Parts: sequence; structure tokens; C-alpha cells
Amino acid sequence: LRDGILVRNMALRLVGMPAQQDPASAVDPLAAISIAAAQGDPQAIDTLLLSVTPAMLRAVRGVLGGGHREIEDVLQESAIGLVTALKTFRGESTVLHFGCRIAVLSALAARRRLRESGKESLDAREELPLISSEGSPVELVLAARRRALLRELCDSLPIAQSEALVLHCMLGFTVEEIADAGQIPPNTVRSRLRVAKETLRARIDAEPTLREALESRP
Amino acid sequence: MTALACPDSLIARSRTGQLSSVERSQLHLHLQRCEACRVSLLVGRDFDAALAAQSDDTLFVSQVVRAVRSSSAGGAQLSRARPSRSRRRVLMYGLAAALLTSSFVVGAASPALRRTIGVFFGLQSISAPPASRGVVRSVSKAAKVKPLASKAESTLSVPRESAPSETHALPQRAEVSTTTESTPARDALSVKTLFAQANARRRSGDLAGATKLYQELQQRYPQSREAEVSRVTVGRLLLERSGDANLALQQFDRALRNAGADRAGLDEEALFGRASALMRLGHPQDERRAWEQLIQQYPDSIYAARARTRLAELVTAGHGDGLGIFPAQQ
Repeated sequence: LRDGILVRNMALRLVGMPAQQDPASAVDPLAAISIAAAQGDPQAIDTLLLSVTPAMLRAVRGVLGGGHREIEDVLQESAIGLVTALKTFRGESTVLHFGCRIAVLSALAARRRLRESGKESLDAREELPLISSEGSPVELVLAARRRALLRELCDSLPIAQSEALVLHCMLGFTVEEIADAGQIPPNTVRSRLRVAKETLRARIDAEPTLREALESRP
Repeated sequence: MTALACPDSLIARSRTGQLSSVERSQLHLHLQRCEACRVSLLVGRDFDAALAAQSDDTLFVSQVVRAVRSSSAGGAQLSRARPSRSRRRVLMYGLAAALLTSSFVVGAASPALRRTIGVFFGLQSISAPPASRGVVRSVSKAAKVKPLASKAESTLSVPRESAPSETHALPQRAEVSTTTESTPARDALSVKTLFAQANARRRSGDLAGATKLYQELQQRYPQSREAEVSRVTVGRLLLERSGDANLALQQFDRALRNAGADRAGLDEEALFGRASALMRLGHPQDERRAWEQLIQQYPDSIYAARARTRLAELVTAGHGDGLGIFPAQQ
């Protein structure tokens, strides 16, 4: 494995464990196959894509919205981007995080492209998830509104802040995971997150209903 | 507390239930003082709930992988030839291997690791509702990206309250239907119990059952807050899941009729839903007025940009009267 220790520590962080605590699970399970895929092994590429694309689909859905008509195209574009980028991938992060970052950047670019071309569809609205942990229809709708608000925020924030916000807020990446995937210092990620989160808070503050819901939370 | 001290990684890990008791205490203390982090966690959980894997994702993913293989990037490394039987077999083996590997990793891992992997792949809520299991959907592009259409959804219907009016002015309140099933047990249900049962049905994926209970709630307790709220929810579910814009419009109209009702701030959704339903029904003049009403009442709404975009489209299509007080801004 390339940079075995680094990859192992990335995988440990993914599961929330301190580095080197559990050597048995300290390997990115996709690291070896990514090397074979980068060398053009068709079966390796198939297996890699089948393993990573579900997480990339989740990322694309998060950015575009569950019912967006462009999901398939953007996911395909992201998967192609992953296959192409494998040649330069040096194992700085797990393959999964690497692929998700590509998907997020592709989806953010697609959002801005659609908006600028005036082709954004009304059908891109937030959909209500049927299977949800939300307790009531009110919470369901408010959660949908908060998600829509974050997506719209991504259109106006600088792309680096949008990326950090999406990776952290939508996909649950830690600061270290974002830093590794983007090859940037953790403090840069924290700084971007701080600004983006503050903007999100201000936007929610400006909506009385969302503000009220936030205050009523324990 | 300085901004740099925000424990973003703790927040991320808390969403997968991986925090120790000490870390939970640290996070709790921080959240009490930092509203930006409270918002971040709340919105993060909103997305956790919405981005759960759907049971037709495997089919969707395999189609994308096939498309990538035949694309220029994939084709540069993979054969451009039409997939042969052996190729398809390789794909199936690959899929099986990936699923097997995932299952093994998840199964063999510690509970915390299982949670992490599960959440990362959206598997925590992957268990589909009984009605939707085993459903194989058509693979048209439009259908592929939509949430699972279960049997329950496809048969979703609610009693029609009245024939739609031609001008779609807000209709008068319909009389309580006498066709609703009324058993002694149901009669004993309080409004809150009925509401909770409807919500439980909705969360389990039984959309038809949930809609029926919401309708019953509206008929039995038409003035209750729960009934007011349920009209918006049922309207959106009808519009987005069953595609019955006519019935959805009735729900939104009824929701908006009582101006003083407590709808927990859902009027924006009702107005947005009403305009969307009119768009689906192809009533451009009524639709234009609905969008204008939304912008007039909620100029800073998250739906305002879409409303302006749609108004511009309507004007371009010749459905504007040239006197609109809310000209398109985008």
C-alpha cells in the first residue's frame, strides 16, 4: 500500500478512533484496489466504482436535492472524474473521502452552472423524505426548509466555504477529513467553516419560523 | 469562546454516536454557548435524515457504472466493446464482491464502526418499508432519481372533496364526508393520537395509510392545529409522490382559507405548494397570481427566487399582464 501509515490513520479517523489504536482495522479497504484501478484494471475500476459511487450519490443528492433532474448526469460526471483523478491520487485521504469531495465539487459546479444559465428547475425543490426520524409534519417541513436554505447558501458563498460547509454539515466530515481530502491545513478548514457556519446561522436567524424552531430545541 | 475553539470534529462524530461520555459533556457545554454550532448540528441531522440510502440505489449505481465504462474516460481504460456476457458477469461479481465486502466489514466491526460505516453509506435507514421491498422500478431517467415509488404510493388516493373550480379561487369549506370509516375505536382517538398515528404511518412509508388518517383527522377535528398542519403536509405528499395536483391543490386551498389558523409558520409552504400545483395543472393565470402572492407576503422566502424565475417564464410565455407588481429579478 502507498503511504500505508497515512492511509491507516485516515481510516481510523473515519471510524472515530485515535490513530494506531486498532491496527487490525487501520487500512483503507479500497486503497489496494485504487492502485489497481489507477493502472487501468477494468475489474478494479468496476469494483471501486461500485463501492464508492453510493457515497458519491449521497453527496450529489445532498447538494442538488433529492428530486433534481441532473443527479444522474452529475453523478456520472463525478464517477468519471474519480477514475481520471486516480492517476494522481497519492492516498492523502481515503478513497471514499476523495470520491465524495469530487462529487461535491461537481454538484456545486452544476448548481452554479444551472443557476447562471437560468435553467434551474422548479422541480429541484426539496422533497419530503417519507422515512424519517422527524417527529411531526411541522418538523419535517422545517427540516426541508433548512436543507433548502443551506443549498441556496452554497450558491452565494465562495466555493471553498461552500465545499467545507457541504462536507461538514451535509456529509458529516470531520475537520481532519476535509483537510486531508483537500490537502489543506486543518486551520484553514476551521476558518472556512467558522465563516460559513456563521452565515448559515444568520440566514436561519432571519427566518422567524426557523428561528423559533431552533430556540425550542433543547 | 473563540471561534477556533468550535469542536467541529466532535459535532461530526456526534452524528454517528461515537462520542465518549467526556466528549459528549464537552460538546454539550460548547453547544450551550455557540449558536452557530447548534445550527450546524441541527442542519446536519436534517441531512442525515434525508440522505438515507434508497432501496433502488443499487440499480441506479450499477447503471451509472455502466455508463462510465462506456464513456470516454472509462473507455480509455476499459474496453469500449459492448458488454459481453463475461463482462456483465464481472460487473455482477464486482457488485456482489462490493456488497459482500461491505457486509463483512460492517458485520465484523465494532458497534461504533458499524454505525460509522452505516451512516456514511446511508445504511442506517436502509430498511425499506414493507410495501416497498422488492419493488423493481422502471429505469427511465426521470424515475431513476426519484425516491422509491412503493406500491402504497402508486395506489395513493384520497376521496375527492369537490370538483375543482375553474378559476381556482379558494373554495368554500367542504362538508365533512360521511363515507369515512368510523369504528368505535377510531371514535375514541383523540386528535393528538390520530395525528401521531398518521405520522407513524408516514414515517414507516405507508403513504396511503398516512394520508387516510390525515384526512380523517381533518374531517373529525377540522379546527385543530394538527388538522391545519396536516393539510400542508398532505398537499405536498400528494403533489410530489402521487402527482395528483388537483387533490393537492384542494389541500393547499383549504390550508390557506383560514387566515387566523395556527399552522406553525407553514403558510409559505402552502403558498408554494399551491403555485406548484397550479403549474402542474396548467393554469398559468392562476399560477402567476399565486407566485405573486407568495412574493408579496414573503419577499425574503427561500421560495422567492424560484417564484421570480417562474414569473419570468410565464411573462415570456405571454401569461403576464404587464402590470405585475413583482417583476422577475433573475
